[in-house]
Amino acid sequence: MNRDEWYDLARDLDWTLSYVDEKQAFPDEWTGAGAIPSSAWKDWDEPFRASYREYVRVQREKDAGAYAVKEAFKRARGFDRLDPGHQAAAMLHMGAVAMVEQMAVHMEARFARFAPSPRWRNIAVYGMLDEIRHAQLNLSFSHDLLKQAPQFDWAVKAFHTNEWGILAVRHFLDDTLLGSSCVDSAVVTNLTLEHGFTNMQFVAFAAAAMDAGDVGFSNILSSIQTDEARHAQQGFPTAGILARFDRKRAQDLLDASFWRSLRLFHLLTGPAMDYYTPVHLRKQSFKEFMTEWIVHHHLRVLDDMGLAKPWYWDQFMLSLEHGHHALHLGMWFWRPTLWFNPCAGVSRVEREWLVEKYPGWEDSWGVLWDEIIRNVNAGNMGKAYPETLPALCNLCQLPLGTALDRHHLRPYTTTYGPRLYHFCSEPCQWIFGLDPERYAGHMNVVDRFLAGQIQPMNLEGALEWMGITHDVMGNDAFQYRWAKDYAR
Amino acid sequence: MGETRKDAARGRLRTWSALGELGRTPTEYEIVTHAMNHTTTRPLPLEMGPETFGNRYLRRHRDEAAISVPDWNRFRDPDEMTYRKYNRVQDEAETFVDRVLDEYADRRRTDLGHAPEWLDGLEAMLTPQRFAVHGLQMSAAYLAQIAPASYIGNAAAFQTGDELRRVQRLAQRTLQLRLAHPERAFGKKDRERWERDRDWQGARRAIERIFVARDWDEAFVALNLVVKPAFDAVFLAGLSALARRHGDEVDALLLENLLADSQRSARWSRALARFAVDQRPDNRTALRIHLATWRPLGDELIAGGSTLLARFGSVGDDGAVARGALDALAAEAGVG
Amino acid sequence: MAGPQLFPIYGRFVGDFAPHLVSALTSDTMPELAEKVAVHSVGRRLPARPGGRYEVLLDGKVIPDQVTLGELVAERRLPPLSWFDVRWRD
Repeated sequence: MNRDEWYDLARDLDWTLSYVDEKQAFPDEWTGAGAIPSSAWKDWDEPFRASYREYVRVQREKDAGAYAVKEAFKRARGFDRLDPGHQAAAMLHMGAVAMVEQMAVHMEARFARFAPSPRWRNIAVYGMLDEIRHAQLNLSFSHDLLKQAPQFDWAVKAFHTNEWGILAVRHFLDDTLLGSSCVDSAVVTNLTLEHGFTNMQFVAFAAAAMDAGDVGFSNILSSIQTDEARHAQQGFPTAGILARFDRKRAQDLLDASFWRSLRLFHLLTGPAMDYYTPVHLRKQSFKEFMTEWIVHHHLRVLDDMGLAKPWYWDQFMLSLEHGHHALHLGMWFWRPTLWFNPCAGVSRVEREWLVEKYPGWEDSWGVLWDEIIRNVNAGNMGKAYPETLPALCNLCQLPLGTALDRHHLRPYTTTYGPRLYHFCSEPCQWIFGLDPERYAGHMNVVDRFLAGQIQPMNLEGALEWMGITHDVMGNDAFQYRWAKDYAR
Repeated sequence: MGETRKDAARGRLRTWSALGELGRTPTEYEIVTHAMNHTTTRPLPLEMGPETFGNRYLRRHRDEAAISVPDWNRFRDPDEMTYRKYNRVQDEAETFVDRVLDEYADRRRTDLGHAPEWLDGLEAMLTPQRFAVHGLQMSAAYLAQIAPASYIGNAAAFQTGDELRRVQRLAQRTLQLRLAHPERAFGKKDRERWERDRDWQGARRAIERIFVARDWDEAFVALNLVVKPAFDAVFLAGLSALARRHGDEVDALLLENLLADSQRSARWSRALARFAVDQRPDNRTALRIHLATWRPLGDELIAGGSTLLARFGSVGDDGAVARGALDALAAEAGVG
Repeated sequence: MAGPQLFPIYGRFVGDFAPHLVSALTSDTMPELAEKVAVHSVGRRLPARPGGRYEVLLDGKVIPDQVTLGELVAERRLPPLSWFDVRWRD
């Protein structure tokens, strides 16, 4: 039997509800159809076809391969002999990403229940199963490494804590994966984050891991990516319909999701690519990677949908020069608040690479690192650690100053109701303004600190509140040996 | 164990800290399923404002549900289903069904040999099921997203996959029957039957009503302890036996194979209800209240379905058998 | 009479890459406030200047040394986490 012959019989399954009210069965908060008429959904067509029968066969084979490789490399027990920079990248990835895969199960399940098209509801079932696969592969891999590195406990633990970076990830992803309508989620997650950003990230990271000698990690990333490419395409038909019927909503949603994804990438990908990946293995800088893949892809998507470039495009391009350098500096300086050991990534050799890739690096960042290096070499370690919290954005939750550099640092504030809100950038401020009620009730880490939720109100209290235990608390990955490059 | 004293001294973990003191090696199932819902263990589920829709919804329909236990992460699916295991099991089941459909229906064209009365029966009972099962699929997906623990949500997600499987197999049968009998209404009037046939309305009403059961515990009882087992008792078990009596081995074998998925659902559902009652005996009351609400809809579904079966030659009381199955499920679940 | 109150501000030392949370007191004069802000940047990520002195700016305007934070807060109805700049006086 040819799949195409019975396919419509399996997917055109809408009927007129008689025993419940349609609006009760498909509340708009979950469906998200808004101004789009119900007739528009008849044209929703999935970009890939799959039969359940093929799915279980292909996925079974894939897993047999992926788990066999995993087992083989588990026995090799070589993880702790890998470059500390790569280890940092792997630990950052697992802590920040494993739970997100499981959250995506919920999002796909939401599509399977509340999406306004039965075709979409069906295809989401594969997405839901895929995300279970990804979560479980990540967990299986991480669990194997527990004996060698307790930091991999954070594959499960991270999202149960108040670690500040995780809270930033959650602010974006609890919203889009767990608290948004199907239409919004499809555009923000499938189309922008998954298809645009993470699809590329997984490819690059898999290659980097392989180069670093971490075949096991590379293997699962590549295997995961084969599914991602498939189910991320769900975003396209939905975005197309949205753009046709509610252009402004489509434009705003794409612009907001692109910026929020960028900030996530400034945090998770930028430092990993430009500071943790061993310098001799770096194929592209973060800026090069973003420009070649993400920018190109996103502009094509906008063009296909007849939408314009984001209004903040110039700021976006400028942020590619700086955002991740800022976050890296912040993460390294506040390293006790991390669950892994970050590399500084500013030895002489690495610094040369940074300067070559980012001509403004010395003036924006080198000056600041030089003072840190002086303190390290003089043994003034107290000055190489922070004594307070940085100011934080009330939208992306990341420190003010980490969208650009110190020369562009200025306040962005909004007073809404009784509260003053701070933002790291104009786009974050704009996103808040699109739907203040969605964001106004939230308290960032500084707000919670001032409200007395962190006790005692010092570093130790903060570390405990964030769930950071002594066996994982971050310190320099190379024990500051690189600073000798600068010692007189 | 999470860690021995020696391990703790060396900062080594043998398993997730979240698993705590298990007193044994965790199973692969536990390793990949445990504590994978970070929104259930804090007063504010989502990292959003407290009064945003998502937070209000989860608090109201999940965290403030009538049934509660100290820790839903202690629940275990008796089948210990993981993604890997699911595809292994279902790939084998699908291989069997492939052979049945390819060998018999396609190659031997057994559909051509059915009596007109049985073809009437298939038009009435088999092919319109696609719509009903799509509804069951949707509600299983609801459970997957609203469940208070990943142990429960994953089981519901696999159940959703099972329903998709069933819809597609029914779609294939619809196509085969249409090709064999183009003069009939296979695949052309199924929606109409689902929406209009008197004997289908019990099922349609029950399936639609679940769409507005928002509290996770009510949705669970409604779907997995009443409506789905009722539906499957009639339209899988009952119809399979009837098909066999009519010499329709293809549909008998297909429906029997699909019944295995249904039985898996019953196993974890029974276990979940048992677990809730064992952990907190008061939960029995809440579960029984839900059952009392939904059982009448289940009975109506059974009544309509049994009438259908009887119209096409079923002997014996299919209704009593199906109702008995519901009673037995409730009893084994500890909420009879 | 009420004693000095804690008043949190965001303090940015000009030249550093990020502002910090600073728990100032309403009784702090501008030089005292400046010290509390500068300590997180000067000598940490920016070089110290022996003998150097600071000045405080609010909304781009230098605030005279003798003004206290409490007076500023009252006069301008400043909310908590108002942004203050500190820089070298030259």
